[in-house]
Amino acid sequence: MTDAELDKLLAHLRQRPPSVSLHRVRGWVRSATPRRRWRYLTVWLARVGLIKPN
Amino acid sequence: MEATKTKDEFLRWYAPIHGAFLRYCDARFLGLAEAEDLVQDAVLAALEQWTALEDKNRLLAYLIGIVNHQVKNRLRSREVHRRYLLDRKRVLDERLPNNPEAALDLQFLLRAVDMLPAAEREALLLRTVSGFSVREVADIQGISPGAVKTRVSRARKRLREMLAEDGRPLTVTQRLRIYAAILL
Repeated sequence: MTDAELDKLLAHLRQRPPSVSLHRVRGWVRSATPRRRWRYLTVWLARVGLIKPN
Repeated sequence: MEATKTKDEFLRWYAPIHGAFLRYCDARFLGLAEAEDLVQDAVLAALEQWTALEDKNRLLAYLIGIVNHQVKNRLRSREVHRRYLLDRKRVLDERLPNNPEAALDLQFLLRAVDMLPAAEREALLLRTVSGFSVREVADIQGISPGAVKTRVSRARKRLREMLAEDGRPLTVTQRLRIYAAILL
């Protein structure tokens, strides 16, 4: 494979528009509370099979 | 009040790197079902550690580190890894519906990228996909600009060799690794 062919393939990966908007990230950050620690704990407990997943 | 101030400051630092961070995640973890969750978890984890992060200029490097760590943990399971590869194939087919050849080429390319050494892979994606300058990649990776160029150059050489179709002989081991990676 030549350099040009490799560049052409890599260019496909650059073309995609962002999948998560900055507006959405702002929403996550503004509504973030320490309660997410509890969410992590429940996800982890579900993963190891100690509780049923939601 | 203090929490709001911290969040506002975090968002001021985060906004300029948002696009680049997503481009990195997309190129690295294309098709991973929980990609959005990964971005969310990384952002919120960075927010929690924001006051402890001494060099705010390293926020992007910090986010990339969190995401890489999360994905490494999740893909340890063979089943999750298998599902990830299938998801990625589906995403590529959907993205290039009129160009199945390019979709297949991209699938091979991403499998080859998966096999690069971690530091080279990150340098290549940050430079060629996320669009950072050599100096910026050097800051993110904490190495010299010269070392970044070396990593990118080595990564490209490896990819060209792995995807070679110019008749150059590959060793049996190299071929088997590539076929196994694509098929399994």
